Formats: sequence, C-alpha cells, structure tokens
Amino acid sequence: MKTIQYKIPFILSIIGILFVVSCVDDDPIEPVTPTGCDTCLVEYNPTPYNLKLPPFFSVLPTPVIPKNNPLTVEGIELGKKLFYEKKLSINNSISCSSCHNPDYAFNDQGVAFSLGAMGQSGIINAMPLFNLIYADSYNWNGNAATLEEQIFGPVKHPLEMMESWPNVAIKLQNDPSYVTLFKKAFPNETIDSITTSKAIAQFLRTLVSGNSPADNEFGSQLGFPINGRVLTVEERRGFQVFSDQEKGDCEHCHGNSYNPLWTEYTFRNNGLDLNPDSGRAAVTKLASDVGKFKVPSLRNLIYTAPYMHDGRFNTLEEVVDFYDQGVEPNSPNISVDMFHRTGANGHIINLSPQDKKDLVAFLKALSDPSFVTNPDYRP
Amino acid sequence: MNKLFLNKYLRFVSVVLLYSFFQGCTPDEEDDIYIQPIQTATIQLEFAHQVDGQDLILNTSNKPFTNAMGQHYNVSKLRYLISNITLHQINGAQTKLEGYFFVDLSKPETFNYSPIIQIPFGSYSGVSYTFGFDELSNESGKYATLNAANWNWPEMLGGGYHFMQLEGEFIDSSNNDAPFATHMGTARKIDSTGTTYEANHFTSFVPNSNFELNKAMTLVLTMNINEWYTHPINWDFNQYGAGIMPIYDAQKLLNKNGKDVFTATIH
Repeated sequence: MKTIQYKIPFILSIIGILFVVSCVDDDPIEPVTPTGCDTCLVEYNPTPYNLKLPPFFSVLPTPVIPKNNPLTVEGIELGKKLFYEKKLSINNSISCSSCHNPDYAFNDQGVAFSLGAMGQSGIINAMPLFNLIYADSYNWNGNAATLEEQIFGPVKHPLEMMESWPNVAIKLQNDPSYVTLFKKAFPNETIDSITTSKAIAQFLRTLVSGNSPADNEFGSQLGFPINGRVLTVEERRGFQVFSDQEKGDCEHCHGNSYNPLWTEYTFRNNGLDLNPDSGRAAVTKLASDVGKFKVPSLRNLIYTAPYMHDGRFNTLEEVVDFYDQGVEPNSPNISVDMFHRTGANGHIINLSPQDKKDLVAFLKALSDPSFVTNPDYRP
Repeated sequence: MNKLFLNKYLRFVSVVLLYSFFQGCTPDEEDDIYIQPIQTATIQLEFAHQVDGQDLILNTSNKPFTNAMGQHYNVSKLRYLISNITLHQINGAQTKLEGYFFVDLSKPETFNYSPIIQIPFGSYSGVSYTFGFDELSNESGKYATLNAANWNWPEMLGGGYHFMQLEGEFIDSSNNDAPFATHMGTARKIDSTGTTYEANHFTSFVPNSNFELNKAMTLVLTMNINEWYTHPINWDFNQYGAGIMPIYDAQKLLNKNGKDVFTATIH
C-alpha cells in the first residue's frame, strides 16, 4: 500500500516534467514550416451570418441561399479577400474588382468593355453587382444558373483573367494567409475552384442595395421604416411617366413600386438592332431567343454608365431617346412591350421634353449612395 | 417503521399500479362506438392549353392559329392568374383550393406539377373558379411572388394585379406582322363624371365538369385561347392589339368573352 502511495506522486512528477519539456522551443532540432505553424491551431468552426435585408424588401419572396454554401462570417471574409485578389489572373494584374469597382456599384467605371489581364478588350459590358441573391441566372445571356457557376467563368476566360483554376489554387495554397482563411471557412482544407467560387459567392450575396430615394418613397408608403429622403416633385412626375402605359410603360420589364429589384430577370429583345446579337440564344440555341438579353435592374444607374449590354449609350438621356423614338420594330423576337399602341407606329412614344426630363430624374433616384460607400464591401 | 413492513407496503403498491396499468390498456366498452371515417382521395390539378383543338406551342415561326375573325396569329407568352377554385358536391358541400394559381406557360412546374389535394369521396356537380382575383384579394403589393414577377397592375389603372398576359404576333390588315398583348386587369373608366375603376375578375362554373370521386383522379382545366377572342363578341387584333390595358372597352370585352375559356376533363 505504502509503495503505491509513493508511486503516484512520482508518476505525476514525471508527466509534469514531460509536459514542461514539450513546451521548450525545440526549433534547432525540428524546424517547422511556417504553413504548419500558422494553421495547426486553426479550427473549422464557422459563425453563421445573418444577412440583413432592408425591411421594405419583405414585399419580395425570401431569397434562397444554397444549402451547400451557407453564409458564414469566415466564408464572407475569405470571399471578399478573393474578390480583390489579383492572383486570380494569369499575370497577377487584375482582380474581380478591376471590372466590378465598388465605387461604381461594382460596375466598370465608364467603359463599354473592360480590359482583360493582358489589356485585351472584352465584348460585353460588365454588369453591376447588387441584390444578386434574388436572381435566378447570371450574365447578360443567363449562361450561369448559380453565382458559384458564374465565378468559374471569368478566371479562365481568354478575354478576362486568362488563368487556369489549378494555377489559381497553387498560388493561393502558397499564401499562408489563405491557408488559414480557407481552413476557417470550409470543412475540408482544399483550396480549389469549388471552395474559391463558394467563398466569392458568399461575399457577393451580401451585396444588398436598398436605400435609394425611391426605396424610401415606396417603402414609407407601405409603412416601412426608411433612412433618407423620399422623391422630389420632379422625380414623382417621372415615376408617373415610367408607369403610364401610354408614355414610358417601363413597368412590364422593370417593375413597379412593389418590386424594389427593378427587373424581373427575364430575357427580352428591346429592339436595339435590326440584326441583333445572339443573346440568350447562345445558351438555349432557340431562334426565338435571338436578340434577347437579361433585363437589367434600373437600380444605381448614376454609377453604371454606359448602358445596354454593349454599352452603346453614354447617358440616360440617350437611353430615354432610344425608347421614345429609336426602337427597331422589325428586330427579331422584339418584346411586345416595346409597342405602346396597335399600328405601324406603335413603337414610337412621343414623350414631351418635360416628360423625358422627369423620367431621367426618377431613374437617377433609383440610385443608392449608401451602397457605393459601404465599408463592409471594401478590402 | 421496520424494514419488513416497508417492503410489504412497496410490493402492494407495485401490484396495484401494475393492475391499473394493464386495465387501462384493455378496450373500454364505451369507446367501442365505431365512427365511420370520411373517405377521401387525392385529386391532382393540371392546366392545359390549346387553340380550337390545336396544341398551344409558343414561339412558332409561322402563324398557326386563326381567330374567329380569320386573323392568323402565334403566341409568344401566356401567363394568367386563377383563384377560388372550388369543387362542388351534389350535397352542397364545397372544397375550396386555398391560394392562387399563377400559370406561366414557359414554366412547366406551374401547370404540370400542380399540388395534389385530398378531397372527400362523393358525387360532384362540378368545378368553379375565379379568373384573376376578386376585389378583396386584388390588393396591390400583397403577394411577394407576384411582385417579383412584375405581375402588378399599374396604380393609375386601378392597381392590384394583372389577371392575364397573352402575347404574340398577328398578320394585320396591311398583311404585316404586328404584335398583340392581350393584358387583362382592373378596368379604368374615364367619363364626364370622372375616373372610376371596375373590378374585372369573373367567376365561372366549368360546364360538364361533374364527376364521381371514389379513387385518385386528375382534374385538367383546359384553356382554349380562341375563346378569349369570340363568344359573344369577335375580337379584332387590328383594333385591340398592343397597349390595351388603359382601354376600358377592351378590358370589359375580355371579361365577357372569357367566361367560357375553360373546359374540364377528369380522369
């Protein structure tokens, strides 16, 4: 009995000594790579992120977040870093933000076609990025069904980043900060196209714009709390032009005071050309889809010039003039909503100069200054 | 209290409790009254679309359909709203299908895979429905899915929601292709007394829609597009082509013509 009583303290002392010894810096004997040190204590234990939507947006269906890519604080943080990461391009020259600039509602500043990694010109206008969580397809022709799928494209596109996904993965794997961030954001430690696109998609889903004067006007009419000014008298007149079936009739494609998305995400030919680009038909291969493009949101227009899928109009005045007089009625598959009356001239509206001025004022009031200055969206 | 007494006492209580437990499990004579359960069967609702017997195919390059005025046309889009679908039993009982049905011909899930409803066995005299929303339901901005689909009817025309968007091209009186957009909703009336808004939904009882329900069945409501354009009054695309939403007479004519657009088959 006595022997055992003495043995216990002795064993404990040995364990204690071993414990202390294990804490001694043993660098000279076993050098540890920086990667191993930085990540060995990192655990996957993500914090769920509750996306805050403007109260007024409750007039819309609740957006669905894919079950295989839930929003987490860690995933969004990683996605933001990747969105601004130039290593995604072949020569580390451009990032997503090069063509999707937060100062301009994530649109490219003032250019019809953005430049790729080698300075080569694109062939379609970069779309602004906001409220993407509500869309059911992405790109002007809707060739990506999900945000994750959309993100695969630009990295390897010969007119954009020109990089291969395996190369992107290697570059990121060699950066210890990414090893840590990926480990925090995803259950396996793989850094590849799937986890990279998932992280960027998470960040993009947090880009919510819902604080324009028009939001305040229509939200307050329904009793929702607002944060800023409502429409001016001129802008309200402009909304009447917008809504009037015998004037703008913008509603059928771009929505109304109960749809703060200002689009229904359908594909339409608005009659730009007699021989239009293939548009949606590039995806569906249907002749009936030639010339149709995604109806863009009218939100944040003051930051997103030039306009149309090919950036052909530099100002909103030019856009309104086009819809007023310039629609090509014989364009194939042209939307019926381009015609305001029965008869040969049904596509001509004849807005008065005052109507046009008011309409442009209203369109500008769909812009949300708090969106382009939101620090959460910046690196 | 000695241990022996306590032991005996506990044994007694256990026996009493066990007896009570098993007694509770035996059927009580008072519970034996047999209640006849209401027998029900599933009924699936589907929407189908045709033009005087021809299948309605969207976006044909030719003009395969002909209206009562002999005008040739095709269809590029059909969306419509139905509510208050009610199944009437001969004994007077009614089963109303909750909510609305927003059918979009470009989305098969909106007409091919409609919900399955459980309804009682019995003899049914038929089916009725409301095309569009009645005044109580036709409240601007009330339905999130319809808002996101830009289905709202402009406030300056009375607000609420569209009831139908039927679009395509016809060959006009100059022999040119011309667009038509048969959009239906609240009818705005402007006259010397001012502006008024008339609810423009209608409720119809589908003819020959009686059936006997004793097993799972499918109810198919088939819309004949041409019935919008005749009976009682023939519709002229040259007169009412595009831009008819603010035209009171066109809206009221749709209301008159539309009441017999659906037929029913039950199988």
